[in-house]
Amino acid sequence: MKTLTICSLLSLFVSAPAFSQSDSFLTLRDKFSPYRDVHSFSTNAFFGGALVWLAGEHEFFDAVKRIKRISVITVPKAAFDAEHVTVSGFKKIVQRDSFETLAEVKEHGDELTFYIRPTQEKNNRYMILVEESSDVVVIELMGYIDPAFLLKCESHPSKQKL
Amino acid sequence: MKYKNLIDMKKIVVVLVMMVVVNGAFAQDAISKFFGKYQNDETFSQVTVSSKMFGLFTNMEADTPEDKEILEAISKLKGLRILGKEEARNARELYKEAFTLIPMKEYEELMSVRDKDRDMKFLIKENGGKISELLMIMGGNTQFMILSLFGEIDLKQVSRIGKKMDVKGLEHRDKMDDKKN
Repeated sequence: MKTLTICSLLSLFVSAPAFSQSDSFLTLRDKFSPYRDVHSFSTNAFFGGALVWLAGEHEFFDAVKRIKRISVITVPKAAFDAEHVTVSGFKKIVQRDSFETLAEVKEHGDELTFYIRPTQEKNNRYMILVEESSDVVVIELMGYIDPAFLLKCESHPSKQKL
Repeated sequence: MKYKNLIDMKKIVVVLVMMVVVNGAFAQDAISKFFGKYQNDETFSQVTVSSKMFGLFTNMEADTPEDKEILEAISKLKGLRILGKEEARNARELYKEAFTLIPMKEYEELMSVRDKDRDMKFLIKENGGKISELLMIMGGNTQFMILSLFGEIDLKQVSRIGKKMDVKGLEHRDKMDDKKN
């Protein structure tokens, strides 16, 4: 019985990170993981929060303290070209994955799109897609962010902290 | 004869409806025209906030009655667009150009601010007695910004919303309450 419980817990623990990412994030990771200079990681809230706190971003920390998981992937634009796919194509996948656009920001040629897939239990999924001149960065957060903080960030591009 | 009159009447109604629709479409285009003209210019910053963002405030709990009023006001907004340029040598020209592209007859001027550093104008559009859009245009020595806030707008709450969003300029809205309300 003990072995069965341990095995069940282990399998749950091992499979949890896979479930904690959206299909669109996993699509991107699976497609580009063989490429060089593609970096991805996923961390729990404790570690992510500690980094934010250490970075001195206390206001940010307060707003995102109900985030449970953070996943990040950076993909060079060259990899998109090599696969004959585009960022706009990925945006369509994101929308098919039930994410809705909250805000878009364009500054100095970079584009940031902020998506949400809301749930009733404040266990939302947020996706931040940043398209820079040479890289694409996708950040996925699971949990809850104070909307007032989001609005403040998005209305003021120079104060982007996400 | 009766039928002819009826057909003529129908034609007039159809033409009137078409005029209203076309007029509306052009008005929409004129605002978008200005954003559209510069949206691919990398020297400009552009922000678009969707109604989904404002909708997130609908179910939020407020600590005070004042907060509740702000949350209600925010949740009635449908969108926000900002187009701005910093370190713009042509900021004054952009300011003037904005007024040539925007259908001014659709808007009512609420307030204008002028000092040595900048010109600023607040315009509103009314629909059925309600304010459906607040437009702020600012042209300084080196800064230009046009902001369009649309949805159902409560003017009394605009400066508070501005503070929440940290949008420069909207704090001037405090001075307009006496004028409009």
